[in-house]
Amino acid sequence: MWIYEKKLEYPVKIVNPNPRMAKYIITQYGGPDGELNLSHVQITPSILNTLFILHLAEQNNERFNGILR
Amino acid sequence: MDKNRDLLLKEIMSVDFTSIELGLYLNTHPWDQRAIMLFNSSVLRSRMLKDKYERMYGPINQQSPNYCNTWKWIESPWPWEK
Repeated sequence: MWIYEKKLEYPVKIVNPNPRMAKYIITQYGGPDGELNLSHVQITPSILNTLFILHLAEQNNERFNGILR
Repeated sequence: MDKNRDLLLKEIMSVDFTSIELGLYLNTHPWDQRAIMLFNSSVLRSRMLKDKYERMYGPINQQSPNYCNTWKWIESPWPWEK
């Protein structure tokens, strides 16, 4: 589902490093109320749902095979 | 990283950026023949450039062929090291 590529989607060139701004952005992104946490909250149930549906499908399949036999 | 390598990688990035954006556009305009044509040409060009890059400098994906006796994937530079 996710593939790492040794390249960027868009090249970045940092002209003026700004640690204060960097700290602010990283808190917004990865902090306790940040985007990363939010996306994790959103994506975890969807992955769990997918696994659950697959599990149900497998169970059904077994039951179905049982009927056929 | 030497200059030619950087130029080639940047070209791959720009071609891939084109195909990503065209792909997003095509999701909402699936009948646009011209966009499909542009999309296909950039995807094919990216494939050609990536093959060239990987033969010369090393894999872009972990799944790319390894043209060396040692495992090239783990070697520098990573995208954050340039």
